[in-house]
Amino acid sequence: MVMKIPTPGCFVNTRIIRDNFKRHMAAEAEAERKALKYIAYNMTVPVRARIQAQLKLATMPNYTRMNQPKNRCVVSGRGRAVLSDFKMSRHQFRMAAQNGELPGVKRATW
Amino acid sequence: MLVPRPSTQRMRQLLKTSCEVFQTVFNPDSIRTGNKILRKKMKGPAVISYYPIESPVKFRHIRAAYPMFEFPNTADEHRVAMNELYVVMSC
Repeated sequence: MVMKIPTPGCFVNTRIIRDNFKRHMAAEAEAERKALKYIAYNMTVPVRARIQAQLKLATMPNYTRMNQPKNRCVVSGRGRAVLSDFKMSRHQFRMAAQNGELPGVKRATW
Repeated sequence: MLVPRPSTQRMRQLLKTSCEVFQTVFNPDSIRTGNKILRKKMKGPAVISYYPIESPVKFRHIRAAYPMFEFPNTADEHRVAMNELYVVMSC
């Protein structure tokens, strides 16, 4: 039975769906990857097991890696210039901030 | 009074007992055990929760559940009004 990954509640586009999929897959495989890495790095374990663990780690699909998910803008789906505090791209952030939708955010003057 | 330094073996025994007493890990030769990988926290749940979950209850469900109340769908009404304007303008 294939588990369906929930659709995001924000703006949805192909890239966001792909990124969401990667996030779920990476989270699922995190424990396994951690265990394999531990075996590969453990010098008290026999060499053969270490090599096998390293190989298994290398052959695991790319979407299971924790460095694959990218923080995308939740409003526009943009991958660049995303402020992680707001989960928004710079232009969307600017529009929302000027509309007063972001609490405590005002133009910087000092 | 000068006491000769105890042998390495003896010092090792002491360290081992000390580790048992204070419940620390005994690794005097600094053998890489890979514990640094297990020590780190898992960040799966935090990574998944980046995108908000789609609400199972939508506007149309609320509208259907309470037919006696009027829930104006401002965005849709605006869209319909604009479409009518286009029709009028094109004639």
